[in-house]
Amino acid sequence: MLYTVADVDIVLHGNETAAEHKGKRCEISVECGKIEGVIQNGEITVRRLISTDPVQYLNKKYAPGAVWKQNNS
Amino acid sequence: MEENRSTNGQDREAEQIIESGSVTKSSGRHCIHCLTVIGQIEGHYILPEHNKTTKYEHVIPQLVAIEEDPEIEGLLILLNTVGGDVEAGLAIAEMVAGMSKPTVSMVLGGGHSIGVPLAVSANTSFIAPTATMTVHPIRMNGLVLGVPQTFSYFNRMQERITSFVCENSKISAERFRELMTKTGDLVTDVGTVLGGEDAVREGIIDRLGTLSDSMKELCGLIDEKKKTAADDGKLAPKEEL
Repeated sequence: MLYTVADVDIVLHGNETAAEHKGKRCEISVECGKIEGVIQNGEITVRRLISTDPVQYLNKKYAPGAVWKQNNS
Repeated sequence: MEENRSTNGQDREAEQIIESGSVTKSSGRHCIHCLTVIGQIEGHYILPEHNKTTKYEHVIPQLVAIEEDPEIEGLLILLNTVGGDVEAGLAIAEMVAGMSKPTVSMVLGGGHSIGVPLAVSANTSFIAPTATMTVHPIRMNGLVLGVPQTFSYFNRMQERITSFVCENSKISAERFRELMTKTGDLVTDVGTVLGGEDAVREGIIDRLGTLSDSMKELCGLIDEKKKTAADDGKLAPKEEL
């Protein structure tokens, strides 16, 4: 349930077609767990971290939106 | 700047900047973490990509890490949000309210809808004079059944927000409900837009202020907590050998 001043139609606009543009989903195993990312234009963008170690959520390289570099692991 | 920065703190900051560009700040008097809550609070559903979002599944473990980290002494929350998912917002707000470390929130630009409980969840809340907060009823998208139970459900959801805000600020539940259902303030909606001064006058936010005021308050709370801990240490009975 949304509680926002933004117009719900604008917030959810494109939800039906968004999946087509999202690129290929991937999962990368890292030391602390897994990263869920999306491959777009040859780059992997971090979508979320799946880990039981809360400290890793303060690490910017695992932050949503960060570009994942292979040498990060 | 104080000269009492710990070597550990400096090493940690350097490491964070090199490794992660983290926003934990330790070059000042205290090591604080700055959490920015922006755009939509994303909840159980991933929002389309044109939205800027704060993801609760990332923020919640961050709050656990901040609470657990012995070097982080306080939390500064900067809010500029249009609201978002009720349960994600309340979850973050409850986490902040339950922290043992000093917390200060600062509303900049806007702290609307579910941003209100987030703003009041800190120990002390500030709002910039130009910032606004919109208090309005909950809405629902998708199929809505026109039956009394729907309104009862809406009421219960709104009550969750009202009770949290009233428990963590000085506004009464009656007044908050009144602001929530006021007509004549918004063009195509019911509710109230509160400017910085209005939010303070209504008792939702503690003070009008700037970033430096927030930092000063947070440092003061940290110093107070350290002093209390030191006093408790002195008063605690010594263990018998």
